[in-house]
Amino acid sequence: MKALLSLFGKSPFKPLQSHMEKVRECATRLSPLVSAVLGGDEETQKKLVDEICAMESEADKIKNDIRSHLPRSLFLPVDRRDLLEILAFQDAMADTCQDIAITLTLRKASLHADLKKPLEDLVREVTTTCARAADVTQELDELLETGFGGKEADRVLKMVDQIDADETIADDTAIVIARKLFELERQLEPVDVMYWFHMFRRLHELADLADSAGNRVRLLLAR
Amino acid sequence: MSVLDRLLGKSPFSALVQHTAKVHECVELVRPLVDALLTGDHDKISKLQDQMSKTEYEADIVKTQIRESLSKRVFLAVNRDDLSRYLAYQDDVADAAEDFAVVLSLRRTEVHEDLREDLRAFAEQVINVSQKMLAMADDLLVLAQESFSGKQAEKVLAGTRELGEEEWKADRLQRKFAKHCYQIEDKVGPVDLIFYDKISQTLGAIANKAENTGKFLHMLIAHR
Repeated sequence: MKALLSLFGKSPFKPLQSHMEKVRECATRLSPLVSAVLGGDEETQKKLVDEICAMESEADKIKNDIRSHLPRSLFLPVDRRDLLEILAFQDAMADTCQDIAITLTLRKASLHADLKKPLEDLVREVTTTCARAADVTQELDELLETGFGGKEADRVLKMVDQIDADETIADDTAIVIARKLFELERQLEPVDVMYWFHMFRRLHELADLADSAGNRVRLLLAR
Repeated sequence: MSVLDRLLGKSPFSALVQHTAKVHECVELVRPLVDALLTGDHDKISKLQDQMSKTEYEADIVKTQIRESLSKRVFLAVNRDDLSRYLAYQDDVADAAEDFAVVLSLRRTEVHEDLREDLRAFAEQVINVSQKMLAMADDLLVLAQESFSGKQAEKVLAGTRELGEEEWKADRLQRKFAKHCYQIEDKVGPVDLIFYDKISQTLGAIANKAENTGKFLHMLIAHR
């Protein structure tokens, strides 16, 4: 038993939390990356994309570690499925961050001046949603100590409500920016239009995944 | 309320069917949405999209109420996680319907004349799939009332298979629509073409999510 527990340290949530911290590291780099892309600073772009890819690969290692060791652990305070589901959403967040980062630097797409501010807003809102989801994962330890109930559970529920609210804001911005893009469609190259449309959708998906990860924690509490 | 009632409560299954009905109401909005798209009535699309968000929100409220009542209940005939998950699957269907409405509202897309009939047929079939999902939930309610006995369980299982068949038909119509889009690609603008694809993908997603609900229910009943 001791050997099993040592795999996870003090709680089974520790590796999940380290995984989510890598995801947070990926997400926080998206705002500076977008600035570097809009400012044409290729050196910074390359540096940030490399960092995001490195973080994503570290996250993958942790993920594989959790997946291969978790089934052997006999005593878990939560349903194993729930834990693996949260992990799957976190993993998808890391993948999406990496995909957005790489796609942003694949081609030099020009962005219409009217869309720059909305894009920066969208990225900020999306990464805020990610950071809040990461904060919720960091609470899992505390939740474990209080048996997933009481004041701590109420506090976490409020945090998850806040993620929902953040995701709704990002949702609205994603819709506004896409509509603006199509209003300008005739002034733009068709490939640029679709490129940015795809980018806005991916950013929106990232917020969606963060929201789903947070809402899985809700399921742990609702019993 | 007697002590026993408080312990057992009202069946969560009637509330579950209420949720399914709300979700189906979202999917039903696909029909007027496609009509508005084909007539190029962008204001109508915008109004319907608002109505979609409202209906989706109502479905969310029902979902939250069920989840809260589940957590207070002491005895339950089924696993509360399973019920919660079933709700999440149905919720995905409503989300997919909402996504379709949002995509239509983003751009004034004119659907080429040659594609209209195919699109209408595809959309109708997607609504049929959701209709099957609703019928399946009704059967599930009866199953719960009959304390999960054999014959009715068979009926629900048959329903999940029918749902799969309807989804397969929707898939075929989706491919037919997509093929047709590329046959006329010289007659439409590049952004139009990609938008037809987007419309097709988001519409097909509604049927896929409904099928996933059926698959999950099949797994729950067949592996009991």
